[in-house]
Parts: sequence; structure tokens; C-alpha cells
Amino acid sequence: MSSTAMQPRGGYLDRPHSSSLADVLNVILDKGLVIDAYVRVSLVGIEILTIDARIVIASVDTYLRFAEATNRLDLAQQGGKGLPDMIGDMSEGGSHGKTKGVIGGVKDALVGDRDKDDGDKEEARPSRRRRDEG
Amino acid sequence: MENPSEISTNLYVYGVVPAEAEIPRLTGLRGEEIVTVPSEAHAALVSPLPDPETIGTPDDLMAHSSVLDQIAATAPVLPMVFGTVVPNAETLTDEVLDPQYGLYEENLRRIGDAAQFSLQARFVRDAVLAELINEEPEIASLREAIYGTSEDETRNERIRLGELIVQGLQRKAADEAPRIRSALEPLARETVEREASQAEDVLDLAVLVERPRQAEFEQTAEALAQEGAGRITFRLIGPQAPYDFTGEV
Repeated sequence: MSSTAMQPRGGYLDRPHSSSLADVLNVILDKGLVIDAYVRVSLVGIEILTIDARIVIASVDTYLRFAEATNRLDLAQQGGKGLPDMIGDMSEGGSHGKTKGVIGGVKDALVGDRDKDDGDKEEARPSRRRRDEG
Repeated sequence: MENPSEISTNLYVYGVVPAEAEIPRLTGLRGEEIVTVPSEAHAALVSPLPDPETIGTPDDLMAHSSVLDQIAATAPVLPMVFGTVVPNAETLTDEVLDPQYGLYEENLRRIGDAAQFSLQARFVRDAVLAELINEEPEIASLREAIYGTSEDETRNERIRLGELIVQGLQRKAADEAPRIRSALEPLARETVEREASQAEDVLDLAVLVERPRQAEFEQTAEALAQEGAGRITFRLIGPQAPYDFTGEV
């Protein structure tokens, strides 16, 4: 039985048929059952995936991005009062750049520099070991 | 399916299913076919991985989740953490499946006949920015102060403005999230709230939904999305393997 097949699409809900890479990173990264380290084949490159690919919400970059977004916002379009001379240049709004930033960050984390990662490996492992079973 | 005992190569391990689970033909990492390595009560889903040194690409991660989610659509499956590789089938049975019998039973009981869904509710940025500008005089005046200036000229004002906006978004999210949760929770076996990943996030919820209730769950999500249209977007992913509901209890 596939619940997605019998479900009519109402159109308001964003209902992708399969997860995007960003979805997968957000949802599954580092989640699941862990087996004992001595049983596992140790992988050189895998620890790069423990890098937190998320953007930091309480950061100056985020603040500047939102400030710029208000600068570009056309309130008339949003049902409020607009600034004089406001040019409704929405296409270059912050959400566009932000998406690129997140995907970029994710990509960096995934393909990350293995040489550089060597130094972090020992720090990254204990967090897994704590979750090992048995 | 080939006989897994003939596989002497490294095995990539996707997850664990009950021994009686019927597994459809699936391909996993590197296009390899999924096979099962059984123990008495459970079976591990694996595929050969001759070259584990190269693992960790986006394609590998997508293949891992795709295999697990396809199985989760019809049967309970416990996901392994991404990147689990064992040297051979014997090690998997003797050192993992048999000794962890109790843990896997406990986790399978927890999951029951349910699959995971991920619901992300997110503010439509410009709609909520307009609300904040109209509601908060300091935001409105800072916005006017930076208008037509460069980032260097009004950096401090911009940082203050952005900070107020992020606080405003968090306040509004705290207002909205309980209503969304209370609409979905009656249909859920369990829920886990994930940390916000963006300032616009209202709620990022992992929900464990039993199969008979999944259609109703989706309808409820659709109704929430319709209600929030133009202000809050809703994205629903699933059925998925129970990534947020698996592990040590």
C-alpha cells in the first residue's frame, strides 16, 4: 500500500515524490543505528559528513541578509505601505542567495577536503562511539 | 537474489528488517542490488561495497536514503547510520545481528506498523517581513534608516534590524507552532521536533504515523497548508524510514 499513490494532491502542500539532497541532509544525516567500531570497516572520508551543514540563525550574516531583504521589500505588493522610489526588485531577494548558500554549504561538507579533515577525525569519532550499541 | 554467504567483500549495511519481511528488488549504492543477510529474527539489508574508501558522496547518501525509504513505504525498517560498512556477512550476523537482537526487537516494537513523515512549516519571508514592519516601529524606522545606503554605511543599523527581525520571526513561530502540532499529534504515534535550520522555520517535525492513518495525516497537512497559504508554506516528505525514532532507548 502506498499512501502517496492514493492521496489526491490539493496543491497547497509541497509534497515531493522523493527527497532532495537538502531534505536528506536535514532529515537523516547522522541518524540511525550505530554498530560497534571494532566491527565496522573504518572509513577515511565518512567523518566529513558529521560536519554540521546548517546555517547559523543567530549570526551577523543572517541579520545582514534580513536587513537587505527589508530594503528590497515592496510593501505595496505585500498589502502594506511602500517606501517612496521603491524598486520591486524581488528576483534578487535574499531567499535566492540563501538557497544557494545552503546547498553550497552542504556540498562543501559532502565533498569536503579529506586532507584537512584528518585533523578533525579524532574529534569527530567520539560522538559516534558514545552512540555505539552494546 | 544471490546468496549473501557467497559475498566475501565488504558490505554496506542500510538497515534491519524483521526476518519475514518481503524485500522488493532494489538497487543501492553504486548501482548494486540489495540483498538480505538473515539472522534468526531479523535480516540486514546490504549491498556489496568493494571500495569503501571512496564512500561519502551525495550520490551515496541519496542511495542510502532511497533504499530505506522505499522499504519503509510498505514495511518496518530500522535505518543504520549512513556509512555503516562491515567486512563480510559472517561478521554482520555474529557480531551485529545476533548480539543486538534485543535492541532491534525493542526498536521494531517502537515503530510498529508506522513510517516516518517529515513536515517543515516555514514562513513566507516577505509576507512576514511586511507584518513585522507594520507591527514594530523600531523595525520600520531602521528599515527607513538603511534605505538607499550601502552595507558599509549602515552596518550597525542593519545588524540591529536583522536581529529584531530574527527575534520577531522566532516569536511568530512560537505563536504558530503549537496550533500545527496539535492538529497533527492526534494522528501520530510519536513526534520529534527538530531544531530550526533557518530563521523562517516555524516548525520542523518528524512524525511517526501508522499506515492506516497516513491518508488522514496527509489530508490534515494539506488543510494546514491551505490555511497558511501565502504566509506559511508546508513541505511534507515521506513515508520515510524512522530515522528520528530509531536508536538506543
